[in-house]
Amino acid sequence: MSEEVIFLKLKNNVSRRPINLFFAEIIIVLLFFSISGAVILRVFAAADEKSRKTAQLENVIIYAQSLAELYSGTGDIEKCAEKVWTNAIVRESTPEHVSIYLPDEKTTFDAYEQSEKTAAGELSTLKMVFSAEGSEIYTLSCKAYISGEESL
Amino acid sequence: MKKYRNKSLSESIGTVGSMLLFMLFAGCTLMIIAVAAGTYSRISDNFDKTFGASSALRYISNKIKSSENAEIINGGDGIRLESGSITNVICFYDGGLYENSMATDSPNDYKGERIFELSGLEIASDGGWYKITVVLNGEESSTYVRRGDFSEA
Repeated sequence: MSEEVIFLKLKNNVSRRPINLFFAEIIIVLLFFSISGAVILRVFAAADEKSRKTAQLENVIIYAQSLAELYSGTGDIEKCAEKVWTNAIVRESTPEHVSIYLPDEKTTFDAYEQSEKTAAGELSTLKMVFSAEGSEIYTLSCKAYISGEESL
Repeated sequence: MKKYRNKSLSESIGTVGSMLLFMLFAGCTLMIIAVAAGTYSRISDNFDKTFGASSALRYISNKIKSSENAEIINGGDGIRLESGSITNVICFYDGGLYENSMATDSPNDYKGERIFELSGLEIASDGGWYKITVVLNGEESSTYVRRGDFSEA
């Protein structure tokens, strides 16, 4: 290889290096930002999901409070549920357990009732459980006392 | 001459390639910013809708519960609550919920302070309960409440 050829090759390498370096730098930066972007998108998705669950929980709490208010005066959970959700679908209804699909069709409501009859009246204890996607999201217990005259 | 042309071509390709990469980076950044803005606005709207309505419902419920006497006014757009010598008038007017506290023996027509932004309010007496319905951004939320002295509701 002649000296002239070696010189030309070296010259070419020197003149190409800045572009190659720039390419490498850009690719590294892009890689870094792509990873950051993926992480950020996951965080956004998690925040969105959290916000949706918070809204759902807030709605459920309002329902539970309304039901507790109504139940403490009537002692009849089915009537209370009919007042709160006019178009809910009843899945199961026995004296001890009422299960309802809420109008949003994602949340289920289960009420477990225990009654204790005495000479003075009837004391009922109700446990309300709201579930979504197979897990409990909110639970509230309340009691209703119906005096002897009213419960007869 | 040919070598110079090749060199110039490779430089051009390098420049265009790096510009394309930069544009790709800029496009991705803009896309992430757009997604972030969308997510933020959705979360913000959701929070406003949920907590705006539930805060108003809870506020009115607590006021009704703690009152000694309640009277629905303006065809369900408001409620007058008496607690001892103080009368509170809570009513919906001009896209907001207003509250005016005054001495029971000196009523006035002042509509009060704006406390919540709402699209609608309806208070109805249902059996022994008050049904409060709040409308915010087209969505209705309702709750039932009864006063401490149940017999008068």
